[in-house]
Amino acid sequence: MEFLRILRVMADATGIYNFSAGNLVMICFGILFIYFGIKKRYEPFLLVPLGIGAILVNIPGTGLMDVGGLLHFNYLGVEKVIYPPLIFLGVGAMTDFGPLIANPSTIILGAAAHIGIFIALVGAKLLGFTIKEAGAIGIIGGADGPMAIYVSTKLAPHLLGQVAVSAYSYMALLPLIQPPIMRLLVPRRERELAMEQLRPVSRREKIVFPIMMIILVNSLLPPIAPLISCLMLGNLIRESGVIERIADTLGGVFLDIVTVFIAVAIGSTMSAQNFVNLKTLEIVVLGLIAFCTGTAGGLLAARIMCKLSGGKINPLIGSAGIAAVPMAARVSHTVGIEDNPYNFLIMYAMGPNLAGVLGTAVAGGIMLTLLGVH
Amino acid sequence: MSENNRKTIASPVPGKVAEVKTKPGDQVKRGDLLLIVEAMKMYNRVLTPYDGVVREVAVSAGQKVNTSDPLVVIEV
Amino acid sequence: MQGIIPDTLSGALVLSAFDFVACFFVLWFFGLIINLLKRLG
Repeated sequence: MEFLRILRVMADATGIYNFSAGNLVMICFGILFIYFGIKKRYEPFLLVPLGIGAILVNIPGTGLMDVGGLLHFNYLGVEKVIYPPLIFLGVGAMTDFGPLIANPSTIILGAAAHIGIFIALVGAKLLGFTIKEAGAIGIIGGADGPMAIYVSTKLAPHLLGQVAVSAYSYMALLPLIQPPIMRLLVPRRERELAMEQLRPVSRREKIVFPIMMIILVNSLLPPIAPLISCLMLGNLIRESGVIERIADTLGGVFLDIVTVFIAVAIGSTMSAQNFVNLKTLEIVVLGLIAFCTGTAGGLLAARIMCKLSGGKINPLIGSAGIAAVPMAARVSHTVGIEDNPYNFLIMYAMGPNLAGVLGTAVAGGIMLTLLGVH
Repeated sequence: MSENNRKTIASPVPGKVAEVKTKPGDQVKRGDLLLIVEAMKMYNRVLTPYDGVVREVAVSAGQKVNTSDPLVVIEV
Repeated sequence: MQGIIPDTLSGALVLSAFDFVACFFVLWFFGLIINLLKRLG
């Protein structure tokens, strides 16, 4: 029966014949990501391409993720650590560090909110991960996508997918994760506090800041030089004010495009054989613990600062120290405005929020140094 | 009528005026929506903390504003 | 270069404690330096 054999050969070559239950599960997750992105508008820039990546890599037989395949080429941008610095270049070009420069005392909150990294790290070690894996899992709590990718590429490349997916998903879900913790840990009286207006920051300060940070951070923590250099270069391009066109493109179109690439690349690590196992579940849970405890750490430190300053600091800005710029700052603002509609916390929250980026970078840099990775 | 009765509502955030919801002559009560300022991709509702009459709207939709730029003047 | 932290639970605890404290210290230091910018006016 030639005809049946032809049919058989055809069937073998199609995806349908080779589907496993795991593939179907992962495709459902891909669709879920897209649903959250489009319908719920949780960071659609990230979740839609992430979902597409996850769907593509779970259709058997396309060879997209094999060496030489389209997704594999794209993935090299992550594996060879090309995309994360590019993302930081764009982020730098769209970020106004003014709120941080105006209120440097809130920088401490960027450290306090990183307790989550270490709680997750120890938790991962208890669950039997190696210390390098535990470090990569902990960095989820840094709530900084490019940094999580950077650190986990160096420490535990085989966990990159799980770490990046957890970090990006929880950042997108921040408006669900943080507010209950904020209402629980900060009494209403303190949530209503209005803050003193930030001092204006001059152009000269804003230009000196990135140059100073490049020299300072890179000489203190060489392992994170690629990220900080790009972040500050982008920022200098913005603040110089003489190449506005480049700054607008970097912080806008360029950043959007690289984000699509990086999100597809992360999605493409979500193959069933990679993801459908207990380790993934453990990492996802540890990541959530890192986010929650980090949020709590930032809030509690901010409450201490509130007390010490005699009520000049609204503790709600503490949770923004986790990083996740600018989502976490928006959450601080949104929760604050519920209790006091005249209270606009967004710019105050940007201070610890930006400090959180530095905090994640510093924590990651120290971790890489101590674990002997370059 | 003294100048003391005139209260200026300043922009609480740097951003762009998305919508002006009031006009000179409007009677407003504490908590009424005056305008919406977009900042960090969020729509911020600027409410009046005073009861009174709107005397002046200093901005129009689409205009960029900085923190503490005057938006609306209200006669209390 | 080999890391100086052993792959044990106490290693993880030491790494965490040191990193957290050092992170505080480094950020505080950044804060001090950033505060100097004020003088530029």
